[in-house]
Amino acid sequence: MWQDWVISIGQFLFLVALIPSIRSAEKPALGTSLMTGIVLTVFAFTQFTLDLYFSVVSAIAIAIGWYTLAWQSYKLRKN
Amino acid sequence: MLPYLLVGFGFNLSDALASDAEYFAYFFESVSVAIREAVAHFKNLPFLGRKIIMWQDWVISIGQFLFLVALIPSIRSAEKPALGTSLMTGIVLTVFAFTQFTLGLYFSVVSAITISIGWYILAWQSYKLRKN
Repeated sequence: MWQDWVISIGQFLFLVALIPSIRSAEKPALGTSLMTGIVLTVFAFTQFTLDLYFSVVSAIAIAIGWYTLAWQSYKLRKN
Repeated sequence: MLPYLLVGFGFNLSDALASDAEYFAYFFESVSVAIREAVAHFKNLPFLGRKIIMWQDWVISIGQFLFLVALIPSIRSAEKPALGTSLMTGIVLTVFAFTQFTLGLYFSVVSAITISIGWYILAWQSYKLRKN
């Protein structure tokens, strides 16, 4: 489906926009990062049931990006 | 004498009563058919609901609503994301809204448009900050 390509490209752009935050010293709040990661994981499952398989891959990739941010925030809070 | 008279006037009461009984039978049969069809439609309601409002629509729209809630502090805060980031995110979400419309995810369309408006507001705020 063409919708699969459009959504996956859009989500890929979100992933690109996320990279500076992962590399930067400043992080979003832990709760925000964790919630976004969880919502994106649910989106990936939902897109899977809609047969949007490329979108699933890109949603999982952004979710991993947000989980990484959550992990970084957790480590910063601990130190 | 009277029956002949009535027949003479065209009142064939015995035939009329017999046909009334036939019409009553048809009437009750049609009522029972209507009830059976209504019950069948009622049984099919969950399926009909799934066709009209997909559960994926609810899930995506709730998720996008959560993203909107997460966006509000940024709109109210003095610090803003980069203008390019806000603008690009707004445009991508508008494209998502159109894509979701073609997939029949109508609640998701509403939530996607709402978040994209939030990002356009952020872009406008960044633009104003840059100008001042």
